[in-house]
Amino acid sequence: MSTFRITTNGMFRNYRSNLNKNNKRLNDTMTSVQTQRKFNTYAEDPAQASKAWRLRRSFWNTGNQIDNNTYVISKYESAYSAMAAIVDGDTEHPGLDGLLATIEGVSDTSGSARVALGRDLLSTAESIVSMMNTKYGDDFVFAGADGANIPFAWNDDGTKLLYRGVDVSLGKPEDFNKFFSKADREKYGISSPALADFDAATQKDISDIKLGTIPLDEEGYAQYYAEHEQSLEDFTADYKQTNPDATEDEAKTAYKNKVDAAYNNFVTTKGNEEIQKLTDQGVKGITTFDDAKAFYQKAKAFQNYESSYSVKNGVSYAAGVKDYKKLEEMSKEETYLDIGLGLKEDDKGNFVTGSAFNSAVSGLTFLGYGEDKNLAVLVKELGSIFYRADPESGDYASDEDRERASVLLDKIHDGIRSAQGQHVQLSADAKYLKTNLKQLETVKSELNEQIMDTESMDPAEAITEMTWAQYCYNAALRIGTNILSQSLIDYLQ
Amino acid sequence: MGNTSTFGTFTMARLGIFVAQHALNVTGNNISNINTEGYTREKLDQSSMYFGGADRYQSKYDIRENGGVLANGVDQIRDQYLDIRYRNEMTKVGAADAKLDGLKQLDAILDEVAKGEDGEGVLEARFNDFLQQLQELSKDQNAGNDDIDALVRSSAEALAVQFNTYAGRLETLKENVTAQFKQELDETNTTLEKIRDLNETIRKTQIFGGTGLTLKDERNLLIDDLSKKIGINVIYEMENLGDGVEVEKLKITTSGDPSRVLIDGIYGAQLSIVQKGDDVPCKDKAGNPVMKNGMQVYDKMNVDNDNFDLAISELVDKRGKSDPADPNKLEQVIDKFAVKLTKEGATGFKTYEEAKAAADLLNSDPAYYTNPSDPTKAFYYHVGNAKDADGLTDQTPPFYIHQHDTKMVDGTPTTDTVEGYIENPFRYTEVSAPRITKLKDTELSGGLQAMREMLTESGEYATAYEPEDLRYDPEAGTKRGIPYYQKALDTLANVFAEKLNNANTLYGDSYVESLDPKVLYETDKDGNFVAANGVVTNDPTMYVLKDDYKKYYRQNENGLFLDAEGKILTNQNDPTQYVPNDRIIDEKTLFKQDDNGRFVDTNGDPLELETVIDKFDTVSSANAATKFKTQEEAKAVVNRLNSDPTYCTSPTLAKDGKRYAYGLYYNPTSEQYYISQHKIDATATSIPDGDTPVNYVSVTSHEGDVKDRTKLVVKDEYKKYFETENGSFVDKDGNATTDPSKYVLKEAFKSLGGGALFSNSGNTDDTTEITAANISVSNSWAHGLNHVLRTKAADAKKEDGTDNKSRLQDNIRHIITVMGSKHEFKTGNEETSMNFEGTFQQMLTEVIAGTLAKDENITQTMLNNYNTTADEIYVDRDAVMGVDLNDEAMNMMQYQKAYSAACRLMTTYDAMLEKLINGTAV
Repeated sequence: MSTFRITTNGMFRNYRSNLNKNNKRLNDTMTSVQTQRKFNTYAEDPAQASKAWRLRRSFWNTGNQIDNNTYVISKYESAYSAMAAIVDGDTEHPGLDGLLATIEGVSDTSGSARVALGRDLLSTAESIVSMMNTKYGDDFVFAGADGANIPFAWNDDGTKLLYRGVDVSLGKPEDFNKFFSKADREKYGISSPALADFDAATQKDISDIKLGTIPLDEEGYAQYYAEHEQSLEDFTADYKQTNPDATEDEAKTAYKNKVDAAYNNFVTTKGNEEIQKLTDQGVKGITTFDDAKAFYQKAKAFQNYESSYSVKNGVSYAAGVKDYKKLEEMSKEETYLDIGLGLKEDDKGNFVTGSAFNSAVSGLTFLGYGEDKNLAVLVKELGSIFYRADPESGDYASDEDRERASVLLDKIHDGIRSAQGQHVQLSADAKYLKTNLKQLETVKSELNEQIMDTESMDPAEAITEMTWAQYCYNAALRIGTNILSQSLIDYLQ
Repeated sequence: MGNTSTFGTFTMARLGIFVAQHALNVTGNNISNINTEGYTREKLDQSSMYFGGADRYQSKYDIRENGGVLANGVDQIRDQYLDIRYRNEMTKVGAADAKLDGLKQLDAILDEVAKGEDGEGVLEARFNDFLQQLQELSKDQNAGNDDIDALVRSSAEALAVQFNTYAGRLETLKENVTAQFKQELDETNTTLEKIRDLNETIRKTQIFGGTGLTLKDERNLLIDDLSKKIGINVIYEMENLGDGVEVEKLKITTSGDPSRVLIDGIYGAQLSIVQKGDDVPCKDKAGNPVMKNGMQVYDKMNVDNDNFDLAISELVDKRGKSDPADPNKLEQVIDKFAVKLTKEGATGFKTYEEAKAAADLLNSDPAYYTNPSDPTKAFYYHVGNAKDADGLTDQTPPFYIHQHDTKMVDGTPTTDTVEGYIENPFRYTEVSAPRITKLKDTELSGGLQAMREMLTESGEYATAYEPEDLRYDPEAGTKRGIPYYQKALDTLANVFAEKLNNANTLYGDSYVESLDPKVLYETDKDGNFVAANGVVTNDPTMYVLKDDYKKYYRQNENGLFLDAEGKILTNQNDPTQYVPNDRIIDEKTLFKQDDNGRFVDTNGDPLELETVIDKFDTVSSANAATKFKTQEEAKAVVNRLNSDPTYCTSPTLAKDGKRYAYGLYYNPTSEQYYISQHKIDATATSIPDGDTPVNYVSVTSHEGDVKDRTKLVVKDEYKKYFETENGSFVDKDGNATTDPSKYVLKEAFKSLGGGALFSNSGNTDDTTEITAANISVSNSWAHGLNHVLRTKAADAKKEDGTDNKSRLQDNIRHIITVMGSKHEFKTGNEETSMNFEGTFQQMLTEVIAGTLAKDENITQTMLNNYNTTADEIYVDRDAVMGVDLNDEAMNMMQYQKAYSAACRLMTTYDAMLEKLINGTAV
């Protein structure tokens, strides 16, 4: 068609469609102004909306991390001030430093102030323990991963300091391997009392094995013989009675022969009994007298150590192994918090340690544990020694006390150094946390800005757009009033 | 000079007046109908009147003027090409419009932008809140605090409820769209009927010489309307009625396939959703099951199929008479089927042939001949009649189809009646078996198809769940309707629950053994165990283990079940032979490893791993053989091949008493190893020296499980997890064992106080088949029996099963990591699955809501384009067929002038004749 024919209805349809578009545009811009948002549905701008979700999620996570971070800072601050009170002292108690200086001062010259000092030390020990039981909120600060229960407590008679039920002065038990290697354990079918639970039924707890009286070797046997059968002197006396001409040397030779014979007899007869006795008790691999001897030697050494450990620490070796392991574990307890270090696990599902912050503070690491290691126990012991000194002269109650006091003083020195080191570490950690908090807050505010940039409309821009849409809409309306009236019909006479 | 009749010229003037008046009438009609929808501009068809015929004695000087004007009729001005363009565009508009409508409704549910408090979203905010509560719980001051655990739980509850709400709203949406779809289908059918009826009226009008212009307008309007719903082809043909009489015939086919005819002149088809039979047990009024001869009677109810497959019915006219030349390829289907105990309500067929055809159809379809209550029996359909049970003697209509019980032999129904019955009992049936043409997925376009797709398409899930869809429509994988969003939300809920439950649970060996077999094994809907072929069975060796539980049994890398010794089970289909996994969480936690993560034996030496052959081929040349860099690598493969009968034996070789063996070759030049294949005596234990290889080997392999699991060593701290007797570990029969994989977990450690956090119902702890609709906080968690597991460390529980007071919270930290880690969201089975990897929240906002938003955004743009184009074509079309006031005003003036001129002509003639008659002196 050469000339395109625009019909009345065609024009109306176009007009209607365009007017509608204008109206929609006006409505959209008005919504923008009212909501101050660049988009009100995901479909309006999928790319930006998707970005906004990501930003919002990061924002939310950062909020959680700030919360965690703030919590750890507060906890660390409580820990720091508690430690400061212990090391530097407060109005009621002299600090350890000050106390130490005084002790060193008095120990060399007059001892008259010892009893008073002893009293001070005893009260300092108590205050150390009570400081270490400091709470943050409902949580015990120095309780490692168990913030709900009081960490430090004295036992009933006040002789032992317990950390979550375990004696902190517990000596480190010797490794069972030192007495029986793995090969030995397998050979003899025996196990340590501490490990007995886990090994097979056929294995025997070493502590239960009743050892006989096996001399270690011929020389040893001679000694045994001398002690139990007849001593050389008695034998020589007897021998000389029957053989008056015999010399000392002959008597000795005869004695040796007798001992050798007895020894040989023992090996063949009594030795077999010993082998049988051990085998009956479930010890495996004992077939010769040498086997029995070797076993006897090792078992005796262990059983001796076991009893000495038990006497020293007041608990059995088995309990000691378990409790000491517990102490070690408790000192290493970790409670990791997400403070924005990129919490993650590796492909195998193992936690990546550096990706979160360990917020656990263990009293054990601050005060120390093990034999003569715990600061509070050491101070208390020194206090007791001083306290029982002569009130007048200040002389120690005994020589042992004097020696012990000097040892303790050295140990306390070490303990304070270690506590000070921990104190410094705590302060460094708290500083790090504060820097991290600042960083997180910056990130949060940047994220907030980005969210605003992505989602929020600049009011000036929104209003300009709305005004323009309004203008277009008005113009469209104006056109409407014009075309509605115009046609040739209107001009017909 | 020719003759001119004296009054002839008056006729000319009269014709002029007459035609001008007609023309003014047409103009008037055009103006009046300017706003009539679908009205086509009319125009008077006028021609100059010609006195035809040559006079016998006509002088060549004669002047022959014409006799004025004639009005031949009224025509419509319409361009059919523009009609086609407009309708094609409207099909697109209809499709995009319907799709956008559906997407907007989805959007109202799933789009969380600018929703919730401060635009934080709804479900998204619930996820954030859940994470926040977990973070709170992770603080050591709160770990194990029941109050905080309760806060986490109530946050989880809100999360689960939000999932349920979304799922519920999606389901409601699906119901609404279904209803809308059916309504649209009804409207389409009404339109088709109207067009068919109009065709008949127009045909009649045309036979009697009329034009039927307004009827055509009405029909065009209906066709325009139809084009929005279905893509159509409109064809105008001439129908010869004999005696040279021809009338126009309108034919409408689908645009997808011109052989699918919707309208053929006076015959029209209807669209319907293909029905699907589903058996429902019959119940009497009191709700008790209806039994006959001790057997439950089933009704096959006609229900909509989920795919909303459409069909075109037979072409029939207004009176229901079939089109003799029906071009559609029809097939007979069972549309409705029900079993009746009495004649009441049963279908009586008018002819035996009709009934026989329906009965044959029933006998050929397993859905109707399978007896769900007894696999040894079948249903047989037989045409009888009302009077005689045998139905063979009396051929008086109506004919009924009876249902008989017969024997089923090897899954094939027979006509043998079941033994032990006194008589051959039968039931009546209600059957409707229309003839239809099934339409494939892609055969329709337009609004109706868009709605169907909105109801059925599941996008990426199609590959796994609806492979049929892909066969019909290769693009089904990218079409996403409501089912896609439902399944995606289900996947999210499911993966979320699974990951959280796993993170919170320590599974023991008897976890699966403690489950109800009905949970473990496949059952039919009545709760009967079924074998792999779907037949009900009571033989536990025939049961089929559900996929979800396979992971709890020992399997190798390729998913083959292993026996207690780690060997592949010969019968993979017998679940009673499967050995439950007795691993705790994962073996890496439980067994000792070296620094490289390899399992070690008691001496700390790495354990030998199985070599798994992925691909094995023999090649004739050493060049084509797989080269190994180290001898160890090659040796492992050779040993593996030599130990496996699959690679060593062959029936043909066995006849000659031979077998294959594999050897190692070394090429000193390339410093590489390769494997040769030899034929050796079946009894020989090694390859004879200097034996020539028959082939070489091309092989790919990888390292699998530990070869000898008895050598695994349980870490000391986990030893206390297991049952011991007299200090020795025991297996589940209480016998001492040294194989750590047979150790039995102590009751107290089966769950370290953790357990399922989410289940498929608030009343149970069942973690199977969790969907968005059913995800709930588990019964145990809700009642405080479970809680968020603080740690999976070995000392989390004391041996008496009570909690250790220690406040480790590594597992809470792990759960927080799970919330922020990327997971795999699978859309189906392994082979065809298209997976998304991301965090839970990314799955929600980027995959579910993001896909929807992008789809909506694109559809909106497309709709705008289609609308603009449609508008343009409409204006183009209106330029031809529409009324324009200027035009008509011009016409009005023109015809008025013509009228005046004709009148003037008349007066001129009159004056002229006045002169001639009265003014001429006689």
